[in-house]
Amino acid sequence: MEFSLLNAVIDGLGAGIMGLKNIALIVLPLMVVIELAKDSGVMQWVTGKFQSLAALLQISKESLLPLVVGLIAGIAFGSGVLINATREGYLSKKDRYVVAVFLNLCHSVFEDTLLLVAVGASLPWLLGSRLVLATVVAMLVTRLFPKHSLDTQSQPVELS
Amino acid sequence: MITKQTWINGLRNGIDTIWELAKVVIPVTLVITVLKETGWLGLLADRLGPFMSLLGLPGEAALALVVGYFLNIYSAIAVILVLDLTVKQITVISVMIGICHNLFMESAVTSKMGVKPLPLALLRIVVSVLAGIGINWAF
Repeated sequence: MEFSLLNAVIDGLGAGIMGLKNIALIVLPLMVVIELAKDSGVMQWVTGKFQSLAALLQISKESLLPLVVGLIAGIAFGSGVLINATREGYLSKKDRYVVAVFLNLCHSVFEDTLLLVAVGASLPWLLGSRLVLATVVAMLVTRLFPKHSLDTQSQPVELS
Repeated sequence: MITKQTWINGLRNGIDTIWELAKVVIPVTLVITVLKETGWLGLLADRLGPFMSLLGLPGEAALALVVGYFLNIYSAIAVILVLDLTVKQITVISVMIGICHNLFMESAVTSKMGVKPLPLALLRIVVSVLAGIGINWAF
């Protein structure tokens, strides 16, 4: 087929705009729902439901908040909360590593997941595999973490 | 408490996200479509085909993984929009990119947590590839 730059530009713009339209239909309501969940107190209720995850990962209650914030709002927000908690000295080295491993594999689940579902991915596979893999790998890390490091409880760390 | 401001914040966040996406998606879909229609993408695909078949993906899909890993999810989405892929293939790419994306920026965030970023970046790549192989096998 003869290449035509004009056709390529039209095709490219078309694909981009159609994709953005599908994404907008999902992202706009999603962002409103997240704000509603925050302001109505549903978000705090959800955090409470994650207690069993903290037990499964063998991390302190204090590391639960950065984990849940990062899981829902994104790794940058999660790390912000985590840096604060670390400064105040609540988190052990193990807590920080396990939260970092979990959040690296799985964060901003609603936004990332739905953006990719908008362009055609399967929702249960996408959401399920990330949550399960992050949990399993974080469980391994927490159980393989060198024992002597457990003694460094509540040591404020130097952050550069 | 839910106020008018709640709704305004939600809509504003939504519009901001779509705007950020548009700034990436439109230029990337344009460039990739030109690459596709000139046949250059096909040349790349022939080289990478054997490796990508492990993931049940066509060779061109390597581009979605590379831009996703090192740039961000938005540009990977732009590549997905241009290629002709099945639901299964889009799911494989999405799981891989969902697990591992934006490595430079997020490694910087990780190091801020007082955690060494390089092992975590490697962990993400390994888990991502294994997950891709697994989804291709199980879907």
